[in-house]
Amino acid sequence: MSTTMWRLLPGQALHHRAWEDEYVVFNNLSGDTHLLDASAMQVLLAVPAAPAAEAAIVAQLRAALGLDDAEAADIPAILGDLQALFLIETVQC
Amino acid sequence: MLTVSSLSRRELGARLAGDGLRIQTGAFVTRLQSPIGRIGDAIALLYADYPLRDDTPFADFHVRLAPPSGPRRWFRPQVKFEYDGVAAFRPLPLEQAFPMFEWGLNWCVSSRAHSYLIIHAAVVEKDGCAAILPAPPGSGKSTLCAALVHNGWRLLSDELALVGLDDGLLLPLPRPISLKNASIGVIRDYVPGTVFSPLVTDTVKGTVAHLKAPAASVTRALEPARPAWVVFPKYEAGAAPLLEPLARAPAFMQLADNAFNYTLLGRRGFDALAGVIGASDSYRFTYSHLDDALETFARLAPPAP
Repeated sequence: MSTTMWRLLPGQALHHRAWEDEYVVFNNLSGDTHLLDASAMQVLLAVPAAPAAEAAIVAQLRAALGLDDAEAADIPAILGDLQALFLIETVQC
Repeated sequence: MLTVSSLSRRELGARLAGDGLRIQTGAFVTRLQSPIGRIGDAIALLYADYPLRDDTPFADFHVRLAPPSGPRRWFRPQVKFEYDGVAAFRPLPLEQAFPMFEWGLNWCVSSRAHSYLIIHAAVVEKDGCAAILPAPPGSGKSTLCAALVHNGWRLLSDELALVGLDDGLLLPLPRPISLKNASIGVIRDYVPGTVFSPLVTDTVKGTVAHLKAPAASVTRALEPARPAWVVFPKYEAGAAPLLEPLARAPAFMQLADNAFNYTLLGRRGFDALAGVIGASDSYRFTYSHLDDALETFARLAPPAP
């Protein structure tokens, strides 16, 4: 059975600035700049360069940020949003 | 250094029709050639205070405005804008020669000067603090800019904010302020003693005229300023003045939308823009009366360090 694994797009530098719980991220691969809220940025920073299982990412964020079940349930959708911005990608393992 | 005003109108015309007039605007030297009398008239009127750069063979921009060859020379005469000997745009009616020079020179800077982050914005400065006013056409940016620079603020630019990629400072490019339609009369009435180029009608922007830049701003054209405020102005008839704080991250995105070469510069553009936003307080500003606008700008406090 395959597992969905997430990783940063290879070469993604995640160059960013933070102001008042909002972030601007420069996508050095696409040249685009993205405005992210704090939750999206925390998820993005939790995605490693090497593939990691979605469950592991969720568990890590729950532990690090003290998320409750409802907050943790939002993480898969946020991962999908970040994928649509070409910041991260899935790898089937 | 000698300025354009040191030349008689005849000498000026001879240079324009011959090897060219080398004129300095901010950091840039333009070599301008044109046999068109109305170009010479407007340069004599609006560029009198600008330095002549006969001392250097180098020019950043080699520009020529001349009538196209062919029968159009006599029938509905036109003017073409050449950059480095190549026509850069479709010809315009001859009456629009001077606006075409101004628009073309903006194009030269915005499409060539990539050692700066270039933002479509007016920039004014007071007490060492600069306000960047990015805005689309129709927002009242130039009208507001014209009022400010005749009431205690220094003109850095009416159209192009130039951000140094290494130091984050704003480089002046004080040139005539382009006003259009009702704004021309508004500023004529509001600021006594202003000097305008002749009205030019039926342009793509409607009726346009260029307002002479204050001499003191031209004199300080090599003196950069540090960014302190980013103000997105919006003229709204009848509106009470409203200055609303804008969070830095959305201000960053809005400012990036107004930059000409942000994408081209890549991470250097990102860093330069982040430097501007990080050093500035950002606002949305709605206004309908220039008195209100001047009062609001007078109350802007420098950002906390």
